[in-house]
Amino acid sequence: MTPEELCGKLHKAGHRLFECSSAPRQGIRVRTSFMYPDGGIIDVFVLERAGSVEVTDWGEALGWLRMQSSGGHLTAKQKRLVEDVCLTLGVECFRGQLICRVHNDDIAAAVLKVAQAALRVADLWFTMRTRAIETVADEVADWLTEKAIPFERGATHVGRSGRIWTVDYYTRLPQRTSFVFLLATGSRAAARRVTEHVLAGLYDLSHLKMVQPQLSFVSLFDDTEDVWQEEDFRLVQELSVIARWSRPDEFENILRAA
Amino acid sequence: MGWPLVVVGRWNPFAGTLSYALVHRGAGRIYGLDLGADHHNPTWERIGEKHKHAWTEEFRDKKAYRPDDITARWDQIVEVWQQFCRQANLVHTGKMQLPSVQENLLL
Repeated sequence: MTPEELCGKLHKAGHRLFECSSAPRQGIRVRTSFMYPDGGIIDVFVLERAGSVEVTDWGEALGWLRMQSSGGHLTAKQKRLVEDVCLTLGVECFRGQLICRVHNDDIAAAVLKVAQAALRVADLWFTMRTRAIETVADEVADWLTEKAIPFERGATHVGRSGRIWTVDYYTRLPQRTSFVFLLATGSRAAARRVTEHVLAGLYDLSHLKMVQPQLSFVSLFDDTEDVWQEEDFRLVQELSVIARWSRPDEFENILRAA
Repeated sequence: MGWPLVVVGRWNPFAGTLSYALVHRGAGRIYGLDLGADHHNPTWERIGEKHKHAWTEEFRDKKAYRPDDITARWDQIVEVWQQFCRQANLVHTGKMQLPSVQENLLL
């Protein structure tokens, strides 16, 4: 089929909301009326392969999604959600592309399926909006899961004083156990209070390190917020290893260190 | 302590799109250029296949405009990169090579 014939079939089906034009390499580009979360218009592509017609997004939805974060990767949870989107819509995710074969000559139905899949995949952006939807604490938990580091969130331990302390992430790897204290706030005014609270916990729980030689304490600063001063780092550096959330690779090395 | 900013780029020769963006780790994309894909502003304008996103308090990165300083096409990856850097006040001390076509985008 020629591009003109493909366009003709779409228009014949009454879908005037599609704008068709030739694609750069093969087939046609269909500009839909759906949008990415930033307002970008979702395009899908119709092409003929070995006698059958397929609709693909050429990897645009996943590419768009990956480009919205500095890491450029999806979490394990997001990958599961992509699979679920594809399962619901009967769309394949092959080599990063959302693809659907056209059945019974119904190109419009396949275009809608792929466009809807692209829309839903791109909407996973809402789970990435760190400050709007997800807290940094959730981000760290997702990251630990993705790195296959076993952890317990919010584990409580009794300090020497008798006070009960909440450890943000209790990680356990063959070589090391870590109590990770997350220092996160958007307020400079609150930053010192957070540091002092963690310092008190580190001191009160320090007896546990005497009985568990493989136990280490980690103070994880969310330094994506410019609220910390050098004194904050100095306050906790004697009793814990300092990690910065802007450097997850270093954080991982700390947790995995023998 | 600076702000963690990352420059990311994406070229899709099959879809005919090219994008460069500055991404803040906490806030997401704060500045970006898209070629080859159309954009719809929250204020109901269609901007066209060449547009830039700049951060505003009101719309975050959702509002785009047509830039006059980008004259290269979506398939002129290096030229667009140079124009993007000039406008974004970025200094690239390395050399941008023509990227290979990535056939396989892993999840």
